[in-house]
Amino acid sequence: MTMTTPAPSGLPFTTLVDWTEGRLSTDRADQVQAAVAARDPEVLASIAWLNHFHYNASAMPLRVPPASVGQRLREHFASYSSARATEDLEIKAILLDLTFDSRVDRPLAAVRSASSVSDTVHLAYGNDEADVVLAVQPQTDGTFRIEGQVMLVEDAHAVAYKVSVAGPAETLGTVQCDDLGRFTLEAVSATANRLTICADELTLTCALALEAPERGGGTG
Amino acid sequence: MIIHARPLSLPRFAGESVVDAPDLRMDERRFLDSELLIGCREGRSESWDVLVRRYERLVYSVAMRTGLNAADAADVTQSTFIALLESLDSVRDEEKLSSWLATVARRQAWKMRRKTANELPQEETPEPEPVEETAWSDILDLQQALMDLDAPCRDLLTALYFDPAQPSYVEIAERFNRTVGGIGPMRGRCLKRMRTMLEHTP
Repeated sequence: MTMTTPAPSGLPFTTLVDWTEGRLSTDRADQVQAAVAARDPEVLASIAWLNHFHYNASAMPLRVPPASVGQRLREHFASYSSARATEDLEIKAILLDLTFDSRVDRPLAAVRSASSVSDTVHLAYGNDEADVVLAVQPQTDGTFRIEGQVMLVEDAHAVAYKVSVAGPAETLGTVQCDDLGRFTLEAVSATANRLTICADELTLTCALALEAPERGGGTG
Repeated sequence: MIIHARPLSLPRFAGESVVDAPDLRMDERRFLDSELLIGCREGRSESWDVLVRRYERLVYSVAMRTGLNAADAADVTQSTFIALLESLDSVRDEEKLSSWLATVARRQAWKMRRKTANELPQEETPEPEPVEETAWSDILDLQQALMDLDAPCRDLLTALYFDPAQPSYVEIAERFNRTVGGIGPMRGRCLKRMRTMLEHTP
């Protein structure tokens, strides 16, 4: 049954609404009554629906709650969304373990030249989440050049990383990684003691010791 | 180590209230329930406000229908919406919110009634007229169809058939800035639309 099809009796739906609510003139009411008596199916279906509608509508009138309810619910939502935003922004901060230091660990790979052994220090950091490799090269002015790469175990955080190197009291420099997670920091002071790699929800920190650690043997 | 960052600052409607936000009320029909749920999950207070305004009368009326007094019904209304807030992640977007809210409201209302009945003498807690489950289902389908109508139709049918004050046609015509003669045809069209919606309800 479609609502756009007029009843065979030609009675519009609005007329039937008026009839069920007793709002028709006697003449019009008689017309509807005749259609009902003739068992016009469209008319009967519409009247049945309207009676059902009136019954259900009167079964539960819509009452307006006190305004204080809406106000309290607004306050609840503010607390809820604030707590949820904080929860969503929890930052995972990880201190990576130093897993290799070429100054301490004997390189297993063949060494091409004496200078590469003495000049560039290779450091590797890692844990279950990420690996970071660094090549630290001393410069003639006493600073260091650090080339590095960040490799995440899962690529979920594969976004632009910001890499900062910091000393005891201040940030010494910040650069952006390329698409492969590579970065270069120039003229890093010997006082730098940590490297921090930040993505949206992840912060990786590597403890740095740019000067050669005190030890018994030389670097080569 | 977990670092808690500063909470996001969320958009706000300063000084917003049901009475003072006519533009927002006019616009609220544009949003589907599913869109409002998504907005709430994203922390948008305007989505929450529209959702509350859309369903607060239904929830409150369900609570009243179970025989609670106005204060207890207000408490049930509040706790029902808080339950929705706490279930935002589990409520499916395609869920009929009217049914979800009414079910929770009825459960909470009955709990409240039992509690009240234990505290007050029996004669002070009148038994409401019972409603069969099938009748509840029909009532809620009707309410959902009412909520899904466009604003002019919803407001007109609410005034004509769901307002406990039962305003006269003259009062309604004044309220809607129409002639008394114009109310009837519009009412017919709106009821027709509602019937079509209900006939297409799965």
